[in-house]
Amino acid sequence: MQNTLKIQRAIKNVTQAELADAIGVSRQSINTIEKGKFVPSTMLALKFARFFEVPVEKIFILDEDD
Amino acid sequence: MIKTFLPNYTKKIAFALYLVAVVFSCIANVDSFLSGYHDASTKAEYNPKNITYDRIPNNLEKRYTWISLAFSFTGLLMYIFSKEKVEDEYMQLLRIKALTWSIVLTWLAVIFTMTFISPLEGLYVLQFQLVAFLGSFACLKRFE
Repeated sequence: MQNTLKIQRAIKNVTQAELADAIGVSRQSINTIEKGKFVPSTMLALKFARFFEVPVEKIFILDEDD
Repeated sequence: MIKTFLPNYTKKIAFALYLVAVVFSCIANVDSFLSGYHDASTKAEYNPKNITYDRIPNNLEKRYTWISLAFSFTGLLMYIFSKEKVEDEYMQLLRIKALTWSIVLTWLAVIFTMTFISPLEGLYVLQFQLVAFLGSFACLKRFE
């Protein structure tokens, strides 16, 4: 699974720490999600979508082999 | 999922309790330290018949060992069940990974000590597992 979290952050001009505070997770979690090491739960994905005001599919994209 | 019941500040209390355990453990093992130091400095083979070290009486040694174990277990369990500053699902995932690692490390340690040194007593195996869990969790948090 790929994600555009870093791009969405850049568009909204927020740091990892600011995003982490807004969502209620640690900065480390944001970092590992951005690097693709950790796939968040549906609830967290929806929180990201609500924060960035975009559909979830714009942030998290399934690979062909997923 | 591993539940964390205690607030973050209890980690400091837990660490203090563990330090108390280390102090008691050192006092209980003074005689072993002395014999080890003597044997190393004289390059002599350990021979308990020649020199006896009895700064701490045997009954006190046992009592201090038990006190040390009690403080150690309390401290370690308190630390394990304390929340992180920010508690989220990633921390839960790291805890599960750390638990897996601690089981593997404990098995390896028990097999190693049984083969090359002497069998570990049950309580020390449990203590090792708790330490292995905390060590694995800290490493995963730092490096993953």
